[in-house]
Amino acid sequence: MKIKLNGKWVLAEEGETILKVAERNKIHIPTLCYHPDLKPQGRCRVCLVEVHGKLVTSCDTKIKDKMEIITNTKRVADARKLNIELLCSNYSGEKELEFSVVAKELGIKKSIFEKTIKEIKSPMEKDNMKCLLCGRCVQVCGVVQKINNIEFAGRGVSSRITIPYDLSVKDTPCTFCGQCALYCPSNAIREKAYNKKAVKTMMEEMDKLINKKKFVIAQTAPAVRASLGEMFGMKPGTLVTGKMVTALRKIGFDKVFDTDFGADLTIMEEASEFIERMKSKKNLPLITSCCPAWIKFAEQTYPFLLKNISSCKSPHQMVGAIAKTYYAQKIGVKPEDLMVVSIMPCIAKKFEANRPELKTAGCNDVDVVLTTREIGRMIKTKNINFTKLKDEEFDEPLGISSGGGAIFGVTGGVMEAALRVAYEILTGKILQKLDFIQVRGLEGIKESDVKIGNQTIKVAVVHGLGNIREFIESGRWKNYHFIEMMACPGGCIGGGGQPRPTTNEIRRKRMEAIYRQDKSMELRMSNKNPAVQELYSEFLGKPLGKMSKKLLHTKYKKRKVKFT
Amino acid sequence: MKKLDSLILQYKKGECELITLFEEIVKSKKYLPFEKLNYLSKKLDIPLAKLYTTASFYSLIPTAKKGKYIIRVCNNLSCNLNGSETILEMLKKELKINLGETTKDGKFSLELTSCIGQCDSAPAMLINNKPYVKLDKTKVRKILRELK
Repeated sequence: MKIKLNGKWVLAEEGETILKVAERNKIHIPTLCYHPDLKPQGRCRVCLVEVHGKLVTSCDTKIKDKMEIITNTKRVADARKLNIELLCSNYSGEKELEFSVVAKELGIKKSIFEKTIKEIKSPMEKDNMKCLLCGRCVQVCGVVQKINNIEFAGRGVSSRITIPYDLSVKDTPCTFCGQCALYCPSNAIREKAYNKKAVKTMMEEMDKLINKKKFVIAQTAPAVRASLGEMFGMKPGTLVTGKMVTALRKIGFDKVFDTDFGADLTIMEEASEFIERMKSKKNLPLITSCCPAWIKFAEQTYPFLLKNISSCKSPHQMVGAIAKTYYAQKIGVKPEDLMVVSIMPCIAKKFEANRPELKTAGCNDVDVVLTTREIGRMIKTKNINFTKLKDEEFDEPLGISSGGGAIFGVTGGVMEAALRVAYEILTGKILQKLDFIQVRGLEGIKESDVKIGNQTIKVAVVHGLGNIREFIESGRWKNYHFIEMMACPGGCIGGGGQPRPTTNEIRRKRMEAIYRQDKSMELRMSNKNPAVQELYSEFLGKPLGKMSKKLLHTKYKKRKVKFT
Repeated sequence: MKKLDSLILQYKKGECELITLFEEIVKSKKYLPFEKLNYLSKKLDIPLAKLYTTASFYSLIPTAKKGKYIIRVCNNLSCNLNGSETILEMLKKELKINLGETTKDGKFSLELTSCIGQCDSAPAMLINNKPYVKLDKTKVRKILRELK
C-alpha cells in the first residue's frame, strides 16, 4: 500500500495504524492515552492528524490505500493544544511525568480549571485532580490483569474512574499489584506516599528515627538496581547497584543489606520443601510464594490452592526476620530498636509488611516498604547527584548474595534458582550448565520438562494475573510439579512501584541487565552463599528445621472480599 | 427475584439487554443495590465494574439509596431558558441539600435530568416519574408542602 504522508509517498502495510507508519518514517506525533502494550483507545485526542481535511486520531485509525495524511498543519497543532489544555483542567503539574512532557511539548504551562481530591483507603490512593480519564488503568486492570476492579462511572463532565459503588479498596479483589499506578501518565493513581509532601514528611520521620538512636537498616530488592537509574535519566537496563548503595548511606541508613540474600535463603527453604513434597508426593504442584499480590489473589479467589503454595515467607520478610533476631543479637541491639526499611519495585509489599502473621520477636519483620519511585524521589529531595556517585558495596553479612538470588527480579528467576539448587541436592553432583533458558523470556506462560537424575520434573512459569487466571481456570496447573507465579507482567522488573514509563521494551532491557549481573557473578548458586551457610551453621540449623520453620515460614488463610 | 431470574434466562449472556434487567430491579428497590448487581454479575458472567459503569451512565438508574420522593429537575434548553436554575436553587434552599443528596429524614432526593419531553410547558421536573410543569416559586412551594 502507498500513502501520502506530509506530501511524501511512503509504503505501508495493511492493518497498520497512522501512528505506526509515522513513527517508522521518523515523524513524531505526540500521544498520551496510547501505550505500546495496550489496545489503542483514541480517548485523549492528543495524537490528532488531518486526513482528507478531517481530524482523526492517529493511534487507532488504520491506513487505507492512497490515504493523504498531514501531521503538521496549524489546525492540527491548535486542536492538539486545546485538547491538552482541557486535560490540564484536572492537573497540578509535576515535571517528570509523561503527561507533563506532552504538555510541555505543546507549549502549555498552567491549568485553568480546578477539581477536588478524593482518596481511596489502602496502600494506594487516587487523586482525581490529576486524573485525565485516559483509561490506561482501566485497560491494564481489566484486559491485562483481568481483575476488573476499576472502571469509568458517570457521564460527561462528571465522569470519573472508580471502584464499583465507591467501595473501600480493602473490600474489593484489588491485589495491590499496582499496574494501574505504573501505567498512569499523570500520577493520579499512586502508592500512598508518592507525592512531594508525603516524601518530605517521610524524610523528617527518618531523621527523627536516626536522631533517636534507632538502628535503621535498608534492604533493596533485586529488580530495583536494574531500574532506579531511569529515575535520573539513565538508559533502561543500566545496573546501578553500587550507586544505589552509596545513595542509601547518604540518606542516612546505618546498614544497607541486600534482599538477594533473602532470596538465597528462600531458595534453600523452598528447594528443600520441593524435594520433601516430591518424595511424599503430597500437595503437588508446589507453587512459589514470593509475590504478595499473587498470594492475596489466591487467598480471595482460589483458596483451594493455598495448600499447594510454599509456606516460605517472601525474601524481604526473611531478611527482616533474620535482621531482628540473628543480626540484632550479633550487634547487641534490641529488636524493637532496630528498624527495617525495604526498597521494593512493588506496592503489594506495603500490604504484605502489615500482615499480622508476619511478625518476629513481637514486632513486624519489616517496618516500612518504599517503592523504587519513592526512593528515587527521596534521593532527589536530598539533592544527591545520583549519576555522579561512586560505587560502594553492600554491608556484611546480610548483603552477600549469589546470582541465583539476583535473578529473582525477573519472571522465571525463582524457578531457575530453585532448579540449580534442587539439581545438586537431588543428584549430589555439581551442576555444569547453570542457565535454564527455557524458563526465561516474556512469554505469558512458559513450561518445560527438566531432567534431574532419572526424574523428569515438569515446571511452569506464569506471570501477569490475567495469565495466572487463565492458567488456573483451564485446569492446566494440575499437570506440573513446580510452578512459579508472579502477578506483574515480566515479574518484579515490571512491578507496580517501578519507574514510569514501563513498556515491554523497557522490561526486556531491565531483564537483560539482571541476567547480565547473574552471569558476571562468581557465586551463582544460592546454596554456595557463604553468609547463608554461616547463618545455618550458627543459628538456624538446617532448612525446614525448627528454627527455620519459626522464623522463615508463614500460613495463609481464605480471605473474604465483597465481590470477585 | 423470580422475575429477575426468568428475565436472565430469557436474555442469556449479552450486555445489550442490561437496561431491562436494571429497570426490573429499580422497579422494586427504587435503586440498584450492590447485592443485586453482584448477583447479576455472577449470573451473567460480566465483571461488576462493567455493570456499574453501564448503570452509572443513566440518571434514571440510581446506584445509591434515594429518598421517598426523587425530584429530578429538567435542565435542558427550554427549561433552562425558562428559569429552571431558579427552581433548582430554590429547591436546594427549601430542602437544605445539594444536587445528588438526600434529606436527613430520607424523604427527598434532588437531581438533574435530561429532557423529559415537556418543553412546551417549561420549566418542568419529575417527582417519582410524575411530571410537574410550568413551575414557578409559589407552585414549587405548594408541591413541597403537600409532600412534606
